[in-house]
Amino acid sequence: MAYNARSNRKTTNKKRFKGTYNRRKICRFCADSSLVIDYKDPKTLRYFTTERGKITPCRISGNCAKHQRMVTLAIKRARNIALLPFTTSLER
Amino acid sequence: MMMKYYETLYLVNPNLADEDYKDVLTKFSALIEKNKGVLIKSDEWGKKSLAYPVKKFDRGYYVLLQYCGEPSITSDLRRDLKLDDRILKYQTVKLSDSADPEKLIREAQDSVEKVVEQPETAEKVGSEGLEKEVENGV
Repeated sequence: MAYNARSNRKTTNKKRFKGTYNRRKICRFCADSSLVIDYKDPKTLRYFTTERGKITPCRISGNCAKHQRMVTLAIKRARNIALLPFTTSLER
Repeated sequence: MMMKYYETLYLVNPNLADEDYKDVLTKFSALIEKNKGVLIKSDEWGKKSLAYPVKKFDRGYYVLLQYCGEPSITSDLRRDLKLDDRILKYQTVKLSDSADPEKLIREAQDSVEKVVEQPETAEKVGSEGLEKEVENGV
């Protein structure tokens, strides 16, 4: 009886887990072809960086591999010309 | 005639007098013409704050040059940008391997006319819509 109860709980947990994981984000740039990735536009590129200025991985941003490559290139170019920070120092 | 299409963004010292700043602008656009290049667009972004200090400056004038020409034009431009101490930073990007300068000039003129025709409110709506989309994607 006790054993059964435990196994039941396990299966329900597993199902809930799967549900949250299966939600796949759609690449923003594939969905809307009018969006252009440009290093001169730090405002939109800032969305793809963390608070510390790191580039967010595609598993979080939801970009496809092709557009993630373009975004990283654009961010690196923007950093080179001081439009985006390499890091943000923690100010006391 | 097909040429390579380049774009250079450079940063000018923010403490320059207006005359010196204009001198810098004319100097580098003249340099492109001198090297048999075709200047398509020169855009001044004005004084902007930088993401990190460059040569101990927190601000700078951004200037964008878009031009067509032979590959040697970029090395000549880079050398002069490097030697000029009024320039803080510069970056050249190749936009396309083969472009027709006449066609690009025509397109640039068309886009300028369109901006003039459109009222300012229309542009504002466009940028807001983009931000909303970005938020929804989270």
